Amino acid sequence: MKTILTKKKFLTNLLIHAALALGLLCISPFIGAVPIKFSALFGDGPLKDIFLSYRLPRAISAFILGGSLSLSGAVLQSTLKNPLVEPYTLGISSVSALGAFLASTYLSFIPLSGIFSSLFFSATTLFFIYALSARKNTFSIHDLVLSGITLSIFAGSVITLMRFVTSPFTAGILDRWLTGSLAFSSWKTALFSAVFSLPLVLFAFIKMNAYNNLYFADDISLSRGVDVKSLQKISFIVVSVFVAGSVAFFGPIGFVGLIVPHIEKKISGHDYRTVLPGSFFSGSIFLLFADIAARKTLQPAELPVGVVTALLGAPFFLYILLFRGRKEKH
Amino acid sequence: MLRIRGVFFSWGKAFSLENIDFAVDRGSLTSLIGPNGSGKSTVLRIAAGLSKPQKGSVSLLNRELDKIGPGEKSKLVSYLPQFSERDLPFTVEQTVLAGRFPWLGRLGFAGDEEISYVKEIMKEFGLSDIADRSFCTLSGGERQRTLLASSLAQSSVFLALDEPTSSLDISHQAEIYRKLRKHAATGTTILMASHNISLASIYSDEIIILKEGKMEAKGHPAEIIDEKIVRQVFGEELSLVFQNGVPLIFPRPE
Repeated sequence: MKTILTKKKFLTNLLIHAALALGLLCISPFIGAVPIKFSALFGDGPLKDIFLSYRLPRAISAFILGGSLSLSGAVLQSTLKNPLVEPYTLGISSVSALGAFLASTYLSFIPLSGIFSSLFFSATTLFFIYALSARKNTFSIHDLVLSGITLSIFAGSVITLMRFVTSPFTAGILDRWLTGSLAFSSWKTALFSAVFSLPLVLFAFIKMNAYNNLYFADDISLSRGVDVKSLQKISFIVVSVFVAGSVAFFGPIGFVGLIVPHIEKKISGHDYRTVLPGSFFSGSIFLLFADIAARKTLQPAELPVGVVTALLGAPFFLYILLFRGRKEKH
Repeated sequence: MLRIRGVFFSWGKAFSLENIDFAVDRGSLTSLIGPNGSGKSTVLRIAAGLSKPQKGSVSLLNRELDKIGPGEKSKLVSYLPQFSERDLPFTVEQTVLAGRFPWLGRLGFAGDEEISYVKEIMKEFGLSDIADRSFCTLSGGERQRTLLASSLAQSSVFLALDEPTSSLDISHQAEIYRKLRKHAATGTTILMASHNISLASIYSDEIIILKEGKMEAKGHPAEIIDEKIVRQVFGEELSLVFQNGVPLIFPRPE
């Protein structure tokens, strides 16, 4: 029985992933346009301030955001039984960004309107997608992604159009509603991303063995006592909440949820009890590295991190679409 | 044990079950027989509590089936749908252990007892040698035996099986029927859809014959299977002979 996941194997997997991710979390704030030495933290100086009030919350934001982006990809792939889906390829991120943009431009007098609008848009899109995917006979797995990409292009175009209408001379500047960035990080964003990730992380952890049943036919899962419909619905709700929160603060960051769970399944198998915790921490590692690349490549200028993830993610997406998506249904 | 009363179920205009009414005793093996589209799968799904009939009721152990919560029901009823060539990213032992889901804790870790139980079932179904093989690499017959083993690993008192031997060769089919017979003898109640009338007649305590959503006959195989009902249900072109009391059905030579 050597292929059975024991508690020991589970914990080893969890601890190795967590140690690597937390290790990188500690190192990454020291790296940047201006490297900060460890000793600088013990003196009084501007570097200590930069470290504590900017670099550290930014690294923590990246840690939580990367982990939850990756986790939401893995959860959606399981619930929609499709290896190509994640918040960005389904169009949820971009539509949600449109919601946040509209509210923060036109309804900014209402407190938290950006987040609520973002949430409304993300949840509506996800349940719309679910309704479409339930029409199994007429709707293939590739159609789901095709409609997602279309939604993304449409939402991006509406954002660009609205910006031209409101301020034609600054509209050309790429902003976070089109390509996500960690440049706006602060302790506040770190706290909010933790709050919006929490339901997703907790639910995914509690249900990680239930997700394994979704590999089987729905009737088999039902007969084992897994309420498939409610597992799917609650998954969509917690993913929507996280996507809405993350997009309202950082904008759409694509492909993390596609690349990381895919590699994670290659490394440690398809059991969601290793895939989900592993994807969370590997997602943190991935986004921390992507953010270091975004800060260092053109220093002292800074790329939005969404550009880095898209540059890596788009070829990866094509690879899965063309070579793996057809053969591999998981 | 299982009691189905006056069940009516319709699926649009194309198909309906009418007045399905039967009881199955504890520890018995009952086979549902009938041509394609006669309603065998729907009766099984209703008996397993996966579809709710529009009229009538289903009770298990004298309790209304739809009043039993999903957690408790999963320990009482196990359902195996018709075999489809669906890939699972698991090994054989992982797949069989997955059937223990209702009995394991939230995170599904198996203790020594659970592991030895799963080993026993794999041995019974001849899967021990391929326990760590990936499901995707198995033949159709091996896949079907793995899924059946996984259903039995659920150790429910009532098993609803939809053509559990459809991908097996004749000797493996007979072997599975013998094993199900043995499980019935230890108190498990089994209701299954079958296309093999001969095997079903040899190993079943009772047979239920369905045609176009209606029950045509129910009873001990030797008492209900005759030339008349075979022609009536399966078609005029068939012949029936009895060999040592076992009905054999084949197309009449032209």
